[in-house]
Amino acid sequence: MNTLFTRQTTAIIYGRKSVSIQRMLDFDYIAARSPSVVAIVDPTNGSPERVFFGTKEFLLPVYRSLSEAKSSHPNTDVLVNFASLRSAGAVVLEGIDLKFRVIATIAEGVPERDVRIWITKAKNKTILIGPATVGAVTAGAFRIGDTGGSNDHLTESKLHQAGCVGYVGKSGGLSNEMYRMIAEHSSGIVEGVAIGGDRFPGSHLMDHLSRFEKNPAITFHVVLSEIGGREEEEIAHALKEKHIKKPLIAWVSGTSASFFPKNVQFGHAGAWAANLAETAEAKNILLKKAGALVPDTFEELPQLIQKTFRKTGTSSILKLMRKKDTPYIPENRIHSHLQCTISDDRGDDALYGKKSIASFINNGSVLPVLAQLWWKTTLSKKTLQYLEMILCAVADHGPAVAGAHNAIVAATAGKDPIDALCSGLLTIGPRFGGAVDAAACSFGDAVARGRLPQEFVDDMKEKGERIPGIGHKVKTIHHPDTRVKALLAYAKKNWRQLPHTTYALQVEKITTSKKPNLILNVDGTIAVTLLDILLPELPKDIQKTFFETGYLNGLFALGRSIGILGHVFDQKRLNAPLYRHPTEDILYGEGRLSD
Amino acid sequence: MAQKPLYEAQAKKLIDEQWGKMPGKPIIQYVSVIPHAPLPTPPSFILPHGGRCPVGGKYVAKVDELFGKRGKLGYVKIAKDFAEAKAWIQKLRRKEVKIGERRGVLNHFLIEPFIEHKKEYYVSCVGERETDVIFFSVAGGIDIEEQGDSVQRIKVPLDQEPDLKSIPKELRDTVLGLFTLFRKLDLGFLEINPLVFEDGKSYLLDAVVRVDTAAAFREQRTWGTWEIPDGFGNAPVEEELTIRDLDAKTGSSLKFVLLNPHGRIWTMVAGGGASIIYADAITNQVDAKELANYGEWSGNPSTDEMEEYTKNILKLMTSPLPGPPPRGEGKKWKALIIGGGIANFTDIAKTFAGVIKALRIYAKKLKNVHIFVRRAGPNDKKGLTMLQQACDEMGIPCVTYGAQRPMTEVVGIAIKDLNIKKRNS
Repeated sequence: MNTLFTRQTTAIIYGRKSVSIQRMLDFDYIAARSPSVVAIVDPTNGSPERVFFGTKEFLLPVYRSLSEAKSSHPNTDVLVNFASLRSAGAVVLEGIDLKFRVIATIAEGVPERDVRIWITKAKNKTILIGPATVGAVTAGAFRIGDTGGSNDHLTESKLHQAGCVGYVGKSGGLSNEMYRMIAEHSSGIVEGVAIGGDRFPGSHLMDHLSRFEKNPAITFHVVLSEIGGREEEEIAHALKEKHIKKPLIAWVSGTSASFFPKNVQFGHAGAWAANLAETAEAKNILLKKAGALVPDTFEELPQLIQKTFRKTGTSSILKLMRKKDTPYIPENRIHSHLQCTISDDRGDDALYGKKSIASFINNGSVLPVLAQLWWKTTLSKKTLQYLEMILCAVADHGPAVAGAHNAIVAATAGKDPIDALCSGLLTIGPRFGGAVDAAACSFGDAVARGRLPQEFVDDMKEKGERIPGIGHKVKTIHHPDTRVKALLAYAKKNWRQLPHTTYALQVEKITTSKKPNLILNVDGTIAVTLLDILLPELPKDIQKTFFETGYLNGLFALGRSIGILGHVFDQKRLNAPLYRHPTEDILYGEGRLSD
Repeated sequence: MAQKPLYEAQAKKLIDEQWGKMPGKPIIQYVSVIPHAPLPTPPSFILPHGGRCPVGGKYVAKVDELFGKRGKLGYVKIAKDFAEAKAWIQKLRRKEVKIGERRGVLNHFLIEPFIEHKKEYYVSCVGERETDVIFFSVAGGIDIEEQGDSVQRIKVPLDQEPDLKSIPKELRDTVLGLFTLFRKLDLGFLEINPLVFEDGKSYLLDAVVRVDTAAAFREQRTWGTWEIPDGFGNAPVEEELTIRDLDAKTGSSLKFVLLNPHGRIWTMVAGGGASIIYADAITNQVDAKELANYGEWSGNPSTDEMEEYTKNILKLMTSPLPGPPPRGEGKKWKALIIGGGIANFTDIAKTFAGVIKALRIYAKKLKNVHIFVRRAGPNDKKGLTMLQQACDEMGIPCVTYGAQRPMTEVVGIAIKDLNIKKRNS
């Protein structure tokens, strides 16, 4: 490749730097290419990032780890590393192992030895840009992070279309100024790189000049270096040996250093001279002697660029200089506050997913609607049937249980049915009906980790935790729960393989041998059977969040709502008086004998 | 964040403390004289061939400030006894001297035993881009620069141990130990000149160490908490220290070095690269004495940080100065150049809001200050307009330019405005 990047280049961004990511996408939009950012890595938060392409909002996937991001986007070969200075190193080394072609690191203040180790590890594998830089840009193709600044300056500096200059410099901040200067005095840059102001930048000036030299679109080079380091010796050597034949304009800043009455560490870590050969004067003279075009001052650079452009330019100059119309991006785009992915009421025909509600109505059954609205999918007939059986099983369990009892008390207090329903539903939690997801989690985890049933029981005992989904207040192994029996019978009849269910029943054998009431209860049965029956039928992305979303407790709440409402209506019909708990049923005081 | 040199006493202390159980530890003997403390009495030093100092031994007294060529400049004294060393130090202590262009006070000294020796070795370790390099010479001493050919250059790839076959056997462990410390302690440079081998023991007589200050966070148990000295002649004023403190606490960059409080051109330039170009432009056009400071801010500092930063600069700018009052008509005006390139991500309006807040506080004292601004980047139109309007309101003469004008053009405008004599180049 003659350029660092092409119009097809895509990047993974480490760190959720919203503004910088948006700037990259704005560049893409202005350069009329497809979005270049394919994914973000954020170790602390996996929720997708809302971004704009032009004025259209879309979501960028966010991964918790770099390896996951890379394996999901195997063709992406650029990594933009916004990690902090202390974690930047680990990201670079992992990026090299994952075979990223280019890694740009923005962090400032990375210890020199660390970067030198990156350099040796990356050799012949990965092009490193930075650290301590803003990045690089291939005009009209791809920009790293904030390179080129805000949208208005981007077009003024002609970064959205290729010119004829190869620019490489140390300073990240100054690169933008240089792109503008070059754009105003020539057709602009083909490619620009800011290698960073450290003493040992990941790639050095000559690395990029070699590439520029091979690129026929580049007619001359501009180099802006600084006091400190001796990279210019390589450039001088390349000029003398004719490895660089194109005109090369160069300036080394820092001539003021020798006038200072004391040691001054400039803002860049590498900008200090260890010896005379590293001073700006010495390096300017060296480059000039080798045949570079070196002005007397920085201020004379623009004229020199213009002169060189006129000399090297062809008849196509006029064509190149013409400004292209660029797409307009409004300044104030506002991210939407809500997102909906399951239904749409905007058209003539309202939709569940992509299907009209009418078609669900005509189908006449409620479980397909649930499958569509909860999991954005359709399910097999026998699974829908099983879900319906579960709703039947959990619909009610008499007036004494927490949910029904609460609802009854609320109803007798004169609350309307919805309030009473809510008061009942609010009791659903870890101790009542809300253990289904927890049971799914703990059995799912035990099976995934290959723990033997006995080991699993021992693990839980050691942690001092009850096994969710095991145990019943009244039912025992001798008086089994008929609901469980019915559900298991259907599951076993219709599915050949039920690994979680089989596992849970082995666990039950162990627990009931200790205490007869430690049976697999309704919650546990629903949990393990659905792991075997429902989970494999769900779409991949739904599967990923299956354990943390709370679908199974939702199923219990849905089914139980039928029963709770039944109790509420029952009380209304009976016109029951306000419930008051009998005082003789309450133990007053601290419960000491002396009271 | 860069490589910074330690005092010789610190360098020796670091090597002495961190050597650990490695073989070949050289004998390191010194007492350091620090400012505002009585002269210490040296302990009993070991001498080769069974001798002891102070019994009949000579002493070496040295100035331990951050400049080289001390021997040649007369800042190393071989004293016949401790009393003479003491007298020599008393004479130089707190004396202001000029070394090249740098003026500073002699505050730090070392007293060491004089080790009689025939041969001086030179060892240094340097980090290059892809390798570490050990330099070694059997002809060390003050003329090492002229020993080009005798200096061995041993390249050590970063993931390998050095091959020291070419180094005299009796010094191999010592050189390996020094190199190991160089690698382990995040040093950018380590030089022992001379290293002496006498009577079966090696003596470390002079040490130069530069630490990579970027690694201070992980060198907390070694040098990371030490006070890293400023260069010679860099005694910082209060405002410089305040800004340094501010810089240490922000993720952005806020730098300020006072060069000459009598200078008429004050700068606060955004960006590590641009600030160098501005300093070049000023010293290129006028006598460098006119440049009052080097300053740099970048990395999108907050409004509050910019206000604090600007306030400290304005405070210095408006402080009465000791010494004779400035002469000549033009002398009464000062220029404040707020310069910079086209920012990539620093918000111009947000940062200038802090500058304006500080200007309002100092407005009354700024009657002889002209402000020259060139800056561009995100939100630049808003920021430049805000600053121009604020200065107009306060009656401070001010010009504001954006990306349309070349970056350092304001320097020429300021020089012309202040009527400062141009340098003959």
